[in-house]
Amino acid sequence: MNRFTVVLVSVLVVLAALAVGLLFVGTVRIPATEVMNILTGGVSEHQPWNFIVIESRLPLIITSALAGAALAICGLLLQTLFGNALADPSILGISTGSSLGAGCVMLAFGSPLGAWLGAAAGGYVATLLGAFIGAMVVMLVLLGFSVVVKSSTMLLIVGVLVSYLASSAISLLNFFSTKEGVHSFVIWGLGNFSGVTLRQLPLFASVILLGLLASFMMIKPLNALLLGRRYAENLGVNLQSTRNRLLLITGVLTAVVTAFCGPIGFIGLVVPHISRLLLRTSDHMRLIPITVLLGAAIGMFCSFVSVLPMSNGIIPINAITPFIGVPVIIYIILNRRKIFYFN
Amino acid sequence: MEKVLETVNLSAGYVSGKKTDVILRDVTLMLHEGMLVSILGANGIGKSTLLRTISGVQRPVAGEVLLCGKPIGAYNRRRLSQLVSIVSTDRTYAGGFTVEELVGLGRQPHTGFFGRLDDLDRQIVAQAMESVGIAHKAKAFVAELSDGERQKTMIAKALAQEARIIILDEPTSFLDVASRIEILRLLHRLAHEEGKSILLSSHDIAQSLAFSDRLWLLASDRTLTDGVTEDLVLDGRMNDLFVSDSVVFDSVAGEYLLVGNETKKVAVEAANLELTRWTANALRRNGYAVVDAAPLRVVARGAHDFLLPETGETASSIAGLLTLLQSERL
Repeated sequence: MNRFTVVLVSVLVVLAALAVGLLFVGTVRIPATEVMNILTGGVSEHQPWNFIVIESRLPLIITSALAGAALAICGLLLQTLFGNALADPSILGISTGSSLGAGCVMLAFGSPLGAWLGAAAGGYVATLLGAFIGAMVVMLVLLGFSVVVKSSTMLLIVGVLVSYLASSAISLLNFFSTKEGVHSFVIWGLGNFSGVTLRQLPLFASVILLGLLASFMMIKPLNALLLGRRYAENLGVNLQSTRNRLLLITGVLTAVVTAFCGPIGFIGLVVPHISRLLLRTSDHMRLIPITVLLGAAIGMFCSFVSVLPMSNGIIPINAITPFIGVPVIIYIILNRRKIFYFN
Repeated sequence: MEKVLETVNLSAGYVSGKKTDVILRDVTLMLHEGMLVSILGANGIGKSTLLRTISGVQRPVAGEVLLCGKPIGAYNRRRLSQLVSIVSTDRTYAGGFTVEELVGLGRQPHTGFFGRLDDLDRQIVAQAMESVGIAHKAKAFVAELSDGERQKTMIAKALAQEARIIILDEPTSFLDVASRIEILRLLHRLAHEEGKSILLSSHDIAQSLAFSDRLWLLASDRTLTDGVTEDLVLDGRMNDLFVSDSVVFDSVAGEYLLVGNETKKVAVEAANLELTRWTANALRRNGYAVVDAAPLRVVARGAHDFLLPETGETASSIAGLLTLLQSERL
């Protein structure tokens, strides 16, 4: 068996184990036989259990898997596009832009316009739209700067600065908002994979699956981009359209995840690195599928930790991701010279 | 030999907004099959601009670039990438590819949507690696290669692309002398044995003179002269490259020399060319103009036997000779 197959099978096994874990473990104790019964179409005599398994645990599993996969792919695409190992939606300010957009909608719900928007679009669609516009605005700013700023490190700094600006705008919004608005916005900002309801799931899932599918279509130009712009162009890659497509994919995926789950850091940053280290390659043909699956696994792992019985309720996702992300990043920085895929 | 590329009254430069910055004007050139051509010129004179324009990365400001008889703009991206391949010194992020995989990327203009390689592609990749002598590193990561090996890998990528023209922007600038010679010999062989048209820019005068079939000299007044290497040297055209009066091309030594700050003249008579060359080298460095005839003469009879005929003094090394001359001056 080659390395790819070994990694693929291992990640699939981990995914399956996490899915089982998330079905049977939760803040409410439900006997395993009852869970099996409900899953196979039966109805438990204990009515809330039916609701918990079907309306809470199943959506949580799917949401955390899809959100994790989406963020991980965004990180991979951005790292290749910017030629920077530290690029990811949160560092480049795309998540923060998305938060600002969502915040504008959520915090404005107290205002007449917000109420109208909420009524007209059904709440979460308006938030989604806000998050998407926010993400796209930051994307366009980055795109504009990338024409002038040739160095990708400088572009990263621009992203960080844009992120600061968006954060201060968010603070301002908070300052002028109602108590309830601030409360819901703060809770949302902590990150949460359990916010997607069974009813919202089809929209969430289909957008993310489309985004993931689109990233598979970019394998060939992504590999060429690793040679730098001039080489890529010489290999027949249309730089302009490739870059636009990559930014659109990451913009949409980040916006959807951020709107539904809050701004979630670190998954996009570290999963591509873990995939490269496991696979020992930069070839996107192998990296993309493993990054998707590993992202899903890490998303589910975060959910699993957040609902562990001793946690007394749900721990915010953003309190968990740094514990996974920071050690990996430190390992990579310390071993930069030894790691095969740099330079 | 077939003409693969020519320019007709080409002006190259940059257009930003309404401002046009023309760097090279009315350049007419030809590139033939099976030849290695070097572009030589001072920094900032427009070598890279010219290379970018004729490789289709940059549009001409005026005039035309004809590729195999057709204007370069008439080719679509894919077709163009099958005709012209480049090797640049740009930063890459390809350390995580093996040599084989990176060379395989050269097949992109020929492969399908996902860029998968079939048996024929793999065979071409293997041949390209064999041809540049990097096949033994096929499974090594690009990040583990030396600069010379990396450059060979990039040239193999260009070969795998199966383009008729290979354009290299300063391909030897980061390499040590041994690797420079090796790379240029390789490029020369590819031109002569595989019929590639190879165009490179360089600051390495010595290697360019040794291996180029033709030179494109970009003079300091931004005019371009195209000719067979030795013809241009013998016509004294190498002195057109730099404005400086103190840097002169010595066509016997085949290199640029610093002149003009000499205070004394000296004539050197030596037993052989090697002795002449290095005695003159030492004298020049110490402020002497080395001329054919002068009152002050140095006779070099051997590496350990120097004579100043005027005073009859002798020295047993260049060091001794320099000491003698110094006391002479006092």
